[in-house]
Amino acid sequence: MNKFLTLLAAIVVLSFGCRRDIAESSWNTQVVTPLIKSSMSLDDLLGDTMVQKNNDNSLKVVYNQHLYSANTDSLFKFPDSTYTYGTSLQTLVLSNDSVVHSITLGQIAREQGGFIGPFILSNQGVPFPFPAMTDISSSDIAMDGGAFFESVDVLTGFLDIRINNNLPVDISLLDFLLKNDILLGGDTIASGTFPLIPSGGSQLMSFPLDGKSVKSKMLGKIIKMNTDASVGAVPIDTNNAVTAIIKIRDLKPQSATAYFPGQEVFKKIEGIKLSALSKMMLNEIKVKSGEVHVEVFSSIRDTIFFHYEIPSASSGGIPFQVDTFVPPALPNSTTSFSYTYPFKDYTLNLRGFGIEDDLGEDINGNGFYDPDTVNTFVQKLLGSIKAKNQMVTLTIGDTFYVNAGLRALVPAYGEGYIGNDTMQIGPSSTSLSVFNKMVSGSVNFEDVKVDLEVTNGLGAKLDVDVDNITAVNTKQNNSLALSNVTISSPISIDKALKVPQGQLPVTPQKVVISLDKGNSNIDQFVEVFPDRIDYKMAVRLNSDIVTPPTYTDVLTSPPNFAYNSTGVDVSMNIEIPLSMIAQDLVLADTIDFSITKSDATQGYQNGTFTLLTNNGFPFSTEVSIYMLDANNNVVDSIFSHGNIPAANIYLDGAEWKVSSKKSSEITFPVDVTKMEKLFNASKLLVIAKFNTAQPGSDYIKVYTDYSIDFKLAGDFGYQVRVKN
Amino acid sequence: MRKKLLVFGIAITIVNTNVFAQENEEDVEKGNLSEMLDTYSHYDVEPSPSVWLLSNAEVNSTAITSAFYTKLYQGGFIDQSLKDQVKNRLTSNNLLGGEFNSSIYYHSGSPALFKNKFSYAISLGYTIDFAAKFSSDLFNFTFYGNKSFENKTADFSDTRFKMMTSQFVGFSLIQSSDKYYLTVGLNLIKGQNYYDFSVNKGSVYTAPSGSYLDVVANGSFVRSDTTHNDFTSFNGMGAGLNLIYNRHLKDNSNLVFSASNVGAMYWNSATVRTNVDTSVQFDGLKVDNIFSIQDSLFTNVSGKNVFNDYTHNSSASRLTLLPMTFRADYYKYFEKGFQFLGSIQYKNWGSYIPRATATLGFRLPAYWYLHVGAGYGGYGQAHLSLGLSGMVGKTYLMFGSSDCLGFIALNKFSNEGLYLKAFYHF
Repeated sequence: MNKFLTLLAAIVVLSFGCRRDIAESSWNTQVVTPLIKSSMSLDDLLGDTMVQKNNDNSLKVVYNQHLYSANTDSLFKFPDSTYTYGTSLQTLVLSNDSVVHSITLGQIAREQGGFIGPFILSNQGVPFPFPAMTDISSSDIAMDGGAFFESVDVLTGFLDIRINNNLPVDISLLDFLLKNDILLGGDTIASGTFPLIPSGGSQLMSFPLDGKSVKSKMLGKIIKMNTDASVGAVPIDTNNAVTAIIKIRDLKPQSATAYFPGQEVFKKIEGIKLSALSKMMLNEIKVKSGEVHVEVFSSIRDTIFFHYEIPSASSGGIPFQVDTFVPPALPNSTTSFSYTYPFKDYTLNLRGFGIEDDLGEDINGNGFYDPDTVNTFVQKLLGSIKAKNQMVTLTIGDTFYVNAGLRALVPAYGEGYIGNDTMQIGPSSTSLSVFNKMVSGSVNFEDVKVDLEVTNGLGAKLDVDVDNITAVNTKQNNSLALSNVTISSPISIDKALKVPQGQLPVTPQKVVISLDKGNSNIDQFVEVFPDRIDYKMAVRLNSDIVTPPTYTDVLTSPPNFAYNSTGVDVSMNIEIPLSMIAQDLVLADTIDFSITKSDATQGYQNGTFTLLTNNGFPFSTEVSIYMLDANNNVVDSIFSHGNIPAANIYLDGAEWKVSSKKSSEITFPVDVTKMEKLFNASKLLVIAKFNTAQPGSDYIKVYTDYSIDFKLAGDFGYQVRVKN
Repeated sequence: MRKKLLVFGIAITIVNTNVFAQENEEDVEKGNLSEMLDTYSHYDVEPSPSVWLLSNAEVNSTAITSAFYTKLYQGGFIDQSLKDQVKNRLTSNNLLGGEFNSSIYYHSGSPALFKNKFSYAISLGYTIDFAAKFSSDLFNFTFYGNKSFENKTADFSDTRFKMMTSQFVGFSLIQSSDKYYLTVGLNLIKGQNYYDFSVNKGSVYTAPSGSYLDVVANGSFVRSDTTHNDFTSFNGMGAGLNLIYNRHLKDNSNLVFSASNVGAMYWNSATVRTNVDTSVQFDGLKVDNIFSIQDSLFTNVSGKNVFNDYTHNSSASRLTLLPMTFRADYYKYFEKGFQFLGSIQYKNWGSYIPRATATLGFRLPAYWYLHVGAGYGGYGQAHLSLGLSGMVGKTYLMFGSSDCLGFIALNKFSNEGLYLKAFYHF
């Protein structure tokens, strides 16, 4: 049976074990196949946003080049208007609670001794003619103020002691002593002599505490007390007492450890002037974006509740305000926090304390409503502590610094008077991409039109003085200044109308200066093929306002306004009909290229590729394509100087047109090494030299239906690999 | 003689129908398979229960050489000479096919059922059948590329490929007498996968320089659920009937008729049929901007996508015929252990050509036998078989090559076949 099982195993092995798990078979083939094809019109080559159709179906290149723009961001540049406020604790209020202690008639009797003392104690309720008593004294009487403070080092302040006499006899003299507990130093706090205190009456004595230290554990002592005889017999009531009420007031402590009642520790209300508005007078702005930044440093060993408010700023009728707190500082250290709050969509009134009229509140507490001003907003800082069931130590000199205000303020709208400054624009430059593929050669356009357009979206009249606009070709180190009579004088543009236009909040005013071959050198300007335009201009504001307005004028009838979304804009609308003569016009462009290896591409062997073209454009092209690495270094060529002949053309009246496309082939070998480079290439550099096909100096137009067809076919060895 | 009849019948059953047969006499002799003579007549064997293990694999082709096939299947580089050897054998109509089966049987031995008139057998097995038919152009296009067809048309018409992988359990009843031996059995079959590709009309024209390709395709592709096609997949269910009638003739010879796997498979609703009937001119992958060639251009381009553009797919259950085999054998015993077997066989799978075989058996010392056979037909052409059989202890072994030309001359012939079989009597 064992042999049989062995045989069974052999059969299984024979059945399944003769084949490798994953075997790959391969063989070489020779493949000829089309790969990719494309048909491209001028739209595809230049981008359909740039190419437009004329009425005769010929094409023109239309391009808008923005030269300069300025909005309220550049007009209203508000530096951060933060305000730093530092203070220290000046006054502290302790609780109004008092230390109260009574000495009863019974206690006095026991202290008195002799005959009288025991008699009084043993005849409670019995009418008795009290004789005059002298030299009554007491031992130390413990008095505890720990319910509201532990200790107070007094800078200035007073101790009030009130004696209430509820004895049946007048007190003719009372010498007393109040001192700190012996264990706490035993320093004398107050001592003195009260004169006559009639029965049922009271006397108050105040003692300065300057420089003294008062502890909650105190000892009181009656050094000497004399009483007068009673008028007739009065019933003996041993509960009748002399009561001392001790209270600290008008305290300015050096330091105190106490249960402090809630109290305001600082308050600051300031008018903050927006800087950099020297010639502007703004009464209101609407805030597009910005932030309120609050930074606090505190050495106070209690939680400071902090309130920041801009009464001048409101959104939906609610002023901007922030309530937060600063945690207690550790002894001999400082705690700090920094908060930033978004400040957007607020209307910021810049009339300073003039807003008191609107609010009906004397914000700065100067006793009257302040007059309006401009460029100023009001902010309020408040700090307070709250009562709590915890002893806190506060010291005069504990400091609290606040750095608070507006940052990165960007207005969406502002009104007032924006001044009559002249803004210098430039010398500056802007890059121009429409011609940046042109390397060399020349093109002569039959016509060129450029509209120089100045748009004013500001609520202020502008005068634009164009110093120069220059076309610069940095590749050929060539430049040409634009020449035109109109732009040699200041160009005045009325202020925008405060009437919405489409999506804009205003109706901008515009001046268009049309430049053509007849009134300028614009054709030569364009044929420089500039990749950069340099310009220098000056824009004067409010040339129509000779005398700056007063505050009152600005408040009652603000002469200017400005919106963030509209401003000053200078641009060129370039229109070039594609009717031209090109001579050895060389264009170069780098294009992103990324073909990655795959299982399918692994089998490639040497081969030859053919670019089949069918050209419908009236210009011949000599094409070279190079492979570039990631650093734009040329690695190798795919092919160079491949010729694509121009389409066949004929003379239609006085105009040359394409009659039919012309086909051609460009064949180029690609071995394995070159294919490897192709896989590693990041970009391709395409260099094409164009010559228009027409004979002589006739212009030739490009029409919408002109196109070129490409097809790439391969004839290459390919190793097929099959995983079984 | 009845013993010989029984053993031969069992062997026929194993090879052709996978169904056992036996008789209950004590002088049972073990015999050969259909492709060899009875080599076992000199052993005395009890009619006891037995277990039979069988494994058989063969590949045949009219054109594909053994060396080529080995590279293709087992991996490796197929060089020019290998391709040329096949190319020289190609005709307009080329065949490739084969089968693999491995199975285990239990036979009850003495008749035990229906008043002791029938013995029985149960079986378990694994089977692969495949067949292909292709044109020379298809081979040349695939293995040489289309360069040689530049400005020509490669014709792929009448291309077929059919393959089925299945597992089965079977039960058979066997009755024997002095004059005949009869087996009736039924296999229940689990379908693992099924492919039936048929190109009725197909061609590719390659334009000069490869500027375009004209593709014509008309055909259908049926495949069982391709998302589940491993051994455990249950993509179809079927049944096959097996019949064997073995008639003892007076001159110490026998005539056997058998039909195996007569039945059908029901493939489940995940079976996909793809119809294609199109002519397409491909002149390159269209790109909007030739100056913007990125991988992303090809993201949505794959063979599958292109194929889907021109085909119609439908998923539905399907009923297909099983790979059936019909066979007739004549065998005769001569004196001194010399034996003869003549067979003719037909299979309804692919483009199988009826296959005729003649085998001679020669007795060797210790009652081992050498079998030498020759034949023609099937998926290949000429066949040569060589095998040995004999007893090792209580195990009767048969092993050899059912088709050895492909082993002898790798580069000239394509036929390869191996078998290993063992019978153990308790």
